[in-house]
Amino acid sequence: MITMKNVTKRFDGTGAAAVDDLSLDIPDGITVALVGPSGCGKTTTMRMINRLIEPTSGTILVSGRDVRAADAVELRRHIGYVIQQVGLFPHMTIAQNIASVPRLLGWDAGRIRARSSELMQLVGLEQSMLERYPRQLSGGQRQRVGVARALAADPPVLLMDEPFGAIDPIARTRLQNEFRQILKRVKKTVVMVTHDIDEAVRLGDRIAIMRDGRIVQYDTPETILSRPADGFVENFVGADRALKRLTLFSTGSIMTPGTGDASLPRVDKDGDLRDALSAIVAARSTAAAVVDEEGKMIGTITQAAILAV
Amino acid sequence: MNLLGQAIDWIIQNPEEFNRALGQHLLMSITAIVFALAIGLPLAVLILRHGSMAAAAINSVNGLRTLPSLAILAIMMPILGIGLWPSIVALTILALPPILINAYIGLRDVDADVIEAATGMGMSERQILRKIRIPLAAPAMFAGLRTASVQVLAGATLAPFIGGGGLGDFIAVGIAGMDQARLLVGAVPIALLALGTEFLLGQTERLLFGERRAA
Repeated sequence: MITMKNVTKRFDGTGAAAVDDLSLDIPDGITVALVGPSGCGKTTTMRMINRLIEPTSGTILVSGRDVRAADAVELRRHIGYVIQQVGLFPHMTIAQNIASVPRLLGWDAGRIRARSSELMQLVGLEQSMLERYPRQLSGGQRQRVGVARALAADPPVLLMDEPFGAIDPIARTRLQNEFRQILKRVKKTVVMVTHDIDEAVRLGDRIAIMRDGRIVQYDTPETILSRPADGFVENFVGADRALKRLTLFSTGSIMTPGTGDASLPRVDKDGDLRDALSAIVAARSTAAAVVDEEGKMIGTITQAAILAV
Repeated sequence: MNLLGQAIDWIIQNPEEFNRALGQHLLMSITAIVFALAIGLPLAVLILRHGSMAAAAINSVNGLRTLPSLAILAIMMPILGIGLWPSIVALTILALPPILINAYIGLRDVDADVIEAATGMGMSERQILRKIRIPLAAPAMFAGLRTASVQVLAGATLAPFIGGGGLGDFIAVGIAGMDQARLLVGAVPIALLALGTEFLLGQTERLLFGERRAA
């Protein structure tokens, strides 16, 4: 649980507050995406949680403890941190990179080794990569290592600053979906900063839309997309917000089970409703056949059912 | 007989004199390098922490660099007199700029994202210096050592002008007596020392830091 109470940050020599009397409650185990245009204060907000930036006023509690009660360096060892450019240590192997925080905490070698191996499996990397250097990995692999390194000491809270910003668009979507699964599995409280509403919708359990140092709307992706609080949010989430909302539902959850009609366009049961609707529109049909992993037809989804969601 | 042959002959016939000069040359150079490292590396860390000092330190050291080696030796004479120690001080000043500047720039220019990640995961300033900055600046520091070593080995040639001895003695004697063979007794070993050091340190550098460059 992270609680921010009336937090304000004013940087020296600037008139307006970067973060202006902001209050935010983040329940345990969920992912919150702080999203907004550049300069809205989202990164400053996140960086105040691990005290990379000190608030001018207000209180921040992590698991009930005031972050300012502890030593900042000590505090950070218990909060995972992932940044856009990953920042892997180039002179250390992947194993040494992952071991960074456990070493700071004084874990013994055996425990570190076991944990590293477990993490490599979690983030979907080969064990053999532990002996490589960051330079020898692709951008996506490096970001996986970045997440493994942040999770190494099993911190309850994970902060992520534009974690997919440096990854090419095709790999990005796949990685985002995978990270969504990983974050669900490890049950961390995650605060993620992004300027990309699609990323926020894909990964966030809650989205906090920020503007000029304040939170304009803090809600589930579903509510943000279906009932934007004001014109700014409506504009920010985009004119296609109704279609974006469809990405929140899987085809399998809306379909009518049955054998299906072979003449209909086919859609994957794990795909989202936006893709299903697209397939229906492309075929100038009114429905689509839903297929499972093996390509077997397991049901039907109609245009009317999608529009009724 | 050619000049080089005469020079080799001279060395064979006067091994003690040659070895003493070589010993002095190496002693002066190595001591100066050790001093320059002992001053330059901590100074680089110090000015890294106090940004305001960095410009002043780098500029004064760069100023020193524009002085010709002979001028440094000449300046030392009225201050420290003549002999081995003034030569060592002069050579230390000669070695300081490449060591300090390389170390400082190496430490300073570590990727900001790497420092951000290290800070964010809970490393103290000291740990960042020890575990991140110094290892990442090591290749630059080593390159500074390499440049300084070659400069000092060659610069020590001028030590005889303030009574420092070394292989430069033969060159001084050779010039004074118009004896080209004697001049080569000094010049050839100095050139070989400088080239050999450059080569050996280059190889060591590759051995120590080569794996990082391998893709």
